Amino acid sequence: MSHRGNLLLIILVLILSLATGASADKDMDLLTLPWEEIEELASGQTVHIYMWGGNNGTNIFIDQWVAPRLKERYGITLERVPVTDIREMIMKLLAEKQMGRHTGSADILWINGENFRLAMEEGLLWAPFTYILPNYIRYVDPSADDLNMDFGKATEGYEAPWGKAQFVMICNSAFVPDPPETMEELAGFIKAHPGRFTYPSPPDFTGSCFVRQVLLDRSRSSAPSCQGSQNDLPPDRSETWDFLNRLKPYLWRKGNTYPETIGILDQLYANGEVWFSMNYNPLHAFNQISQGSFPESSRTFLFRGGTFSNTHYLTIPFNAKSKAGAMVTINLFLSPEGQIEKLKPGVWGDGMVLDPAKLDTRQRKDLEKIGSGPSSLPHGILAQNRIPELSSEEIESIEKEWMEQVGKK
Amino acid sequence: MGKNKAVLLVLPALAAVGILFFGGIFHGLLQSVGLAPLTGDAVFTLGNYRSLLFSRDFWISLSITLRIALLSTSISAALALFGLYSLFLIRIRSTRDRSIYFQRCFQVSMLFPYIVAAYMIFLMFTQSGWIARIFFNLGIISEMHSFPIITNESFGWGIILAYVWKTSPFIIILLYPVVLRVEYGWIEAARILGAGNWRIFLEILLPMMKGPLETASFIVFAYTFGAFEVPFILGITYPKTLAVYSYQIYSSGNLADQPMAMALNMVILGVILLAGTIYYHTIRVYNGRSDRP
Repeated sequence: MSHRGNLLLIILVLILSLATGASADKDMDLLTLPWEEIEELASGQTVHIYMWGGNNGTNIFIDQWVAPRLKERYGITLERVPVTDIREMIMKLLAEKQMGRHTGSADILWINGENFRLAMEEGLLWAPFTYILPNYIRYVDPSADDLNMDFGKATEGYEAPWGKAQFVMICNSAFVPDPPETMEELAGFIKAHPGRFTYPSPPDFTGSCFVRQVLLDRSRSSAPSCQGSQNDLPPDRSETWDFLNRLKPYLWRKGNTYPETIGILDQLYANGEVWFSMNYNPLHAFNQISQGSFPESSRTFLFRGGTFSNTHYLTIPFNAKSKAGAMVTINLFLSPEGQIEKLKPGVWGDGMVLDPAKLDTRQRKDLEKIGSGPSSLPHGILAQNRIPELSSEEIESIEKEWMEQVGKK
Repeated sequence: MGKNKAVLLVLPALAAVGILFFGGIFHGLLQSVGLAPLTGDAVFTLGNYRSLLFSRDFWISLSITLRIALLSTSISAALALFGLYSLFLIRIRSTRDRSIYFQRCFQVSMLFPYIVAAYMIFLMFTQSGWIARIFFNLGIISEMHSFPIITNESFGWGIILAYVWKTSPFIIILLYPVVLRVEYGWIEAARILGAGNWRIFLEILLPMMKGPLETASFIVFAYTFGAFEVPFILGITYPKTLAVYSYQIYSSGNLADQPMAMALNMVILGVILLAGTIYYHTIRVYNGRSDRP
């Protein structure tokens, strides 16, 4: 290449870098604009939302409820991109960040927990945008710890709460007429009916949560003051492992193996091989009965003292192309109508993140109308029994220790 | 020129395979020795391999993976030979060769992906599965729980079953051309010399099949040794096969563990390469180039 060519190249690179620098500044300016101007900017944009595609109800809600309203009201085209594990998208963003790519493919990501922690630590998220969303300001309780802490990591406005999930137990009332209310009662039942209970092996998400429920119960029995809240659990977990190992001979397959995934446990439950299942979606039993997979006699129950719950969020990556469009979209997700629609069991049944006290009377009436029959628990009971999740570091350490202390034995 | 054109035509496919396949392996190799970290600085280390060598879990996983792969391969090859013998009988029964249709029937299981095969085996053979229910309703077993445990047990019978079901038709396809090469004249000659069907199969067909059978068995071994989905669904919590163990490390949530998973993948690849080398140098070279059917 000639010298002249080199010079041209340098000038080109300079212009390009100036242009990208300017666009990054312009993105930050978005946060200071009045909301109406953001809506105007968003008009005509295409927003790509990357999300786990494994739940049909969720997909239909996005495609048939959210997308048409966005198009009609704001002129935004919403493209849903299903992924099997959002972790892959985080890895892609990490690579794009290292290569300095300023225009990525995703505008919104659906994440929480360790993926959020990872994205924050690596600077993959855009900015504290939630504080300017009108529906966030109007309807979300800004001091709610279960929204502001995502598996122990402060959200700092980098992700907007979208929904809530809570761990519940499921049993077949034909065989288990009185669902156990404590871990001790459950253990008693298991010993009296060998082979009818098991849990998915951690790191399966649901199985891991069952182990945390045992840990919480054991910690409370030795230290009643323990609330189960962040880092309140004693570091010595031996009593939990003893408890689980003592149960082992009475588990399905005598505890020689555990279902690898919650899907396998559900299959065993549907076949009647075991009498219990569990899930992180409180309406799972209702949904499975509607699909004809679970017996009609399935019931959902909680442990006295509460079960773990977590919040899931929507966030905007640092290199999103349609940031204004992404904010307007997330704002619609946070609207009372969007949240109440999502809560309906036939739609998705995902928990609401808005503060019911901030809704108007008509909206509260809509909320009360939502029911889901005898197989699931009322929203009020669930809400009173929520315990925020542990930190993702602690969960990881529990999962590894379970494998050493219980899984291998 | 003609040769150049052929090279040109094959180039796109070759490039895709080269970049995606070897690129992936190369990146994995770099990660396993610390040269392609996701975060932080690149520092060369063999620490991941060292900790694998000193880990008891690794050796247990290696031995069960070897056991499953070797058993699946041998059972599958034996079953395939049995199938080929029956195809041979069908072929020589009449001058109108019907073996081709039966051979098609054997291919049915090849239509299913491995993950579907694994799930089908689970649904059919688990203690509350279809077969257990049929036995129970026929009164063959008095309780569902007395059905033998086939899936998710420590030996890996469920995994072997799934592999045999999937791979024996593959061996049959590779070896079937040998059956087609048998000419009626040979059979008549052998009959005159007093040989029965079984002897004809053993002394004429089997030697012709030896080469392709070895190749097919090696492919089956390489696949069953490294595959993930079947042991993931039909295996047990501990010990796991190497691929599932690697996945467990990879998906544990901690980025720092990922190079270890890559090291494990490199070991899987290494074992397959080693088996390939041994196969090439002992069996193939020893036989000369007799494996062209």
